[in-house]
Amino acid sequence: MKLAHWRLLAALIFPVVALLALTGYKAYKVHAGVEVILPIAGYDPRDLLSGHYLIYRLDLPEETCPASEPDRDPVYLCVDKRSSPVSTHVVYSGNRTDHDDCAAIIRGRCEGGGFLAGVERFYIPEQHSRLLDRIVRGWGKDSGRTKLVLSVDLAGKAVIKDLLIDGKPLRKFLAARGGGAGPKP
Amino acid sequence: MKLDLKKATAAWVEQGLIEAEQAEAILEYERSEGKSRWTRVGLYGFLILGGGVMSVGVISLVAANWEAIPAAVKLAVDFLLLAALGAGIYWSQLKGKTILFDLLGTIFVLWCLATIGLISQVFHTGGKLHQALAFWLLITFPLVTMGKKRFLPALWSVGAMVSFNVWAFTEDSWWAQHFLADGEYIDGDNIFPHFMIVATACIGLAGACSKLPALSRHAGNFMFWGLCASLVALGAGDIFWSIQEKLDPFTLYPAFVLLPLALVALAARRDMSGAGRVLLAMLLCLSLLVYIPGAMFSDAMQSRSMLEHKVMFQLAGAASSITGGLLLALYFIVRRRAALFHTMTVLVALRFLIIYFQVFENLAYTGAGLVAFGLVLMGLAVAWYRSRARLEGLARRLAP
Repeated sequence: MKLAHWRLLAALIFPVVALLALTGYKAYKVHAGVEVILPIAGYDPRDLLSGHYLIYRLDLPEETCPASEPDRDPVYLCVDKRSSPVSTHVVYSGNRTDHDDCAAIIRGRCEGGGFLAGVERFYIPEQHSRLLDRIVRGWGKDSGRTKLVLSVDLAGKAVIKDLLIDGKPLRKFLAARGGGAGPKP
Repeated sequence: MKLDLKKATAAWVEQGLIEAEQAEAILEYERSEGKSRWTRVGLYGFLILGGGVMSVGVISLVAANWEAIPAAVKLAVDFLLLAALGAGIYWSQLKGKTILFDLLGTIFVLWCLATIGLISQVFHTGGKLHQALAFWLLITFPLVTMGKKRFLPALWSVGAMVSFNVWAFTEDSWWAQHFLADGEYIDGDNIFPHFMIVATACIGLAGACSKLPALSRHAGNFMFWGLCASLVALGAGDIFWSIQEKLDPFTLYPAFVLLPLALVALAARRDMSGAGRVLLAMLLCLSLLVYIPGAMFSDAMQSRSMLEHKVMFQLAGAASSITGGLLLALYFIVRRRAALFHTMTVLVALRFLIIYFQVFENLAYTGAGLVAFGLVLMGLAVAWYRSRARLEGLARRLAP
């Protein structure tokens, strides 16, 4: 085979392998960490490449990132073991051995009075964007219906596993509604 | 040099250089070749357009995020189709089908972008648009360099421009990190230096690409974007003076670093005439120099006593953009681009007209001012025409 053909093969394989590696890395991050579930509240914008997504903040106690204090980075958030409903508090290091009482420690930052951990975006099917926008805003009877399932690795990096509505994974919730977009029964 | 073949062959027959039959044969050959060449250009253009539109449709389908299809199936089908496209490109190379190669290449490259979007969607990653584009540019670069015609490099350079321009106005940009207030991504501190940087970077990259055979098609694209950015940079410099914007001189650092590199790359371009290189170098230097007094004496210029001299600053802005516009117009003459030359002269004339609204307060002064400018311009045109041989000689000495 000519050198030009080898070069072309390499040029074609390179992007496919890079994209497969990216997919594998993301899948590994989702499955390798400790699972925690936290409440959220937010709204729905859209992205040209990947479509509609919900944007929200983790619904944490005000003292996690007080609005009166300046922005901080990094901030370590401990998700308490055996707490129901889930409770969190800020700790001063991401070292798990220093904090036996933590199921996981999420590394993030305080910005504008909110805790950001790089998990503030969840992509949703276009046809349900209005319904999910309303639910995730959490106003009135929709308050507290949405929670986020995260996978947190030992370095404190959190990635999204799923979105729960009324305790059900999003796909199951939408399937139970028969794909409709009406109000909550 | 564009040749009117009909006139030229008639002249050659008259001079006894060729026979009348030969002239007719030449004209017949050029007529049939020209037709088939333009048919191929049309076919290529429309096929690529169709492929591009189809690929954007795929991106949109991915973005719709169909819940009925499980994520793993979406990813598997996506990668299978990507592999099939790759196989098609390889086959078209083996069979020597150049148009098919570029068509499938375009779809493959855009499909990679759709795949990045799909991965973001499936794993809910919070990456930014410019990061996705930068990754896409990186992974598709080797294939783009193998494009058979101009479209793939043009598509890639458009992606590079979009990626850089989007980055420059986000919280991740160098300016947002160092100069802008929290939560601000767009301000004079990044708007003004930004276009200057695009202009110098693109013209520098064009020079570098022209030296490498595999990247020679990128050179023309980067030069195009560099000239567009120069034009915008001239406008930005003009506005900078006219509104007396405050500018931190440190925001210009990247431009100061890039300018000498761009000048070296220009000087090394043997495929361009000396006059063209000198004119572009002057244009780039002017685009940067115009900011220096404003950046260095920003506070002094905004003092009350200086604000009373607003007209002076507005005239300085107009002078810089008119000079730059004329340099670009001359560059287009040197490159034999008549339509672009005329466009530039119209833009320069428009800028003169804007002075009328901006600076002069009564019709008598305005009329006198414009008459004087017009006479100066005509004088300069005549002087340039008479001394163009000497000027070209000087340019050759400056940029041999």
